[in-house]
Amino acid sequence: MKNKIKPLIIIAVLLGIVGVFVGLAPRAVAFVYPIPENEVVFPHDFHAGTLALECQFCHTGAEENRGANVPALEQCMFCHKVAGLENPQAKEVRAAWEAEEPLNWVRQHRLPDHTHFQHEPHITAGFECSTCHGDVAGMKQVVQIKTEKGGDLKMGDCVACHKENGAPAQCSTCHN
Amino acid sequence: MSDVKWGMVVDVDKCSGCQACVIACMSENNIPINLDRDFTENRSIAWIRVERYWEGEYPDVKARFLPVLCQHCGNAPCEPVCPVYATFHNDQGMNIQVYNRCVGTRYCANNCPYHARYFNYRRPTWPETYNNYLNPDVTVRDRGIMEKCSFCVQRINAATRIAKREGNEDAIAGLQTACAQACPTDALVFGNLNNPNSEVSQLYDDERSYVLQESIGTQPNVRYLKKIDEHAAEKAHAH
Ligand code: SF4
Repeated sequence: MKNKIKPLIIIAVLLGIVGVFVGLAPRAVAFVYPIPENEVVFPHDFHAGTLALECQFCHTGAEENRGANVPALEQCMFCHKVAGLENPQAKEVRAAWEAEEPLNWVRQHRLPDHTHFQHEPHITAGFECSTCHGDVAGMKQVVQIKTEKGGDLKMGDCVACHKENGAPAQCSTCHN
Repeated sequence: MSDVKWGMVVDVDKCSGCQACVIACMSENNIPINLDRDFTENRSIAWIRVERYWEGEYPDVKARFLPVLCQHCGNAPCEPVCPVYATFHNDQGMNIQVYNRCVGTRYCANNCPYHARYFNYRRPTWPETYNNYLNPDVTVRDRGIMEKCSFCVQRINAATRIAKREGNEDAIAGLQTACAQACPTDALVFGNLNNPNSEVSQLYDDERSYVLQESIGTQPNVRYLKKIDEHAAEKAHAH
């Protein structure tokens, strides 16, 4: 009897130790919405990294409006009429443009309907996009990141930052 | 911003009972469409309603109209009864309803002496084509959530942001709720009570001003201006 239990205990302890380390390991990625196969994955690392385009070159509106828009195909074609003619992904973009079909980008940053985040006051106050969105210029595919303090971009993060910076933090600021 | 205190004055003398305010409020705040059964079951939702009272005997009969909305009481009976702090008083004199906190006990509505709170007994639905008409700045409330007049808090937030960005208070001074904006006779006046020059604070202390059910001590931020009956004197004479 004793001989049978001993290995079980050892395995359990080992599993426990591994589990603790897995739990403590920094998880930089908070969440990813799965992208269906055969969809165009927008290479942010190339556009924002290699080409060093400004975020707001494509995501217009963040300075005046609630949203930093997911750009329409017109915005892609601004460059891709002449740029990246041989690139297979850019070819798909052009094909969609010629077929007059929109590309259904999978948004990685979504909020529940009862939360009204506004980009404008944050950009006006001088925050960088990367404060919440992370180093998009280095991402092959955009993912939601853990914030610097390890938060997962949920209400706790919002409230902590609002309090730190003296921004209004009553419920009706975002929920109405 | 806490030097702002929002309030409203309703001039009963000017109200013609046209219900433009009701419609404006419904479209601004994504209020569900009330069907027959909602009315018959007394479950219709209207953040502002126009109460109608008949006065006198036929043929000498008059209709009196009284627009009633959330009074944003300074001493609000709805607030202390909420077990989850889903309704609270903010530093601008408004009574705030937080939909995502509400658990649907309906204590607040039962404690409201003005019947200004409305409960979603059903999941609201709109005809498919209406989806794009909903106001994106206002949450669509689901079944089981309490709702009420918010003094168009989304407009207040937007005006505050614009004022801050542009560095002047013009946007805040020109702020109106949907109902006040729609009222053709200017019976509803909304504004900052702490600004002595605003129209609302001047009307607030008018000699005709009164509050609904003053005796219960709710200290509303909405005041009413009495009806002036130009025939009152001759009627008194005739009797
Ligand atoms: S819009 Fe003005 S006049 Fe018409 S019912 Fe409302 S308060 Fe009265």
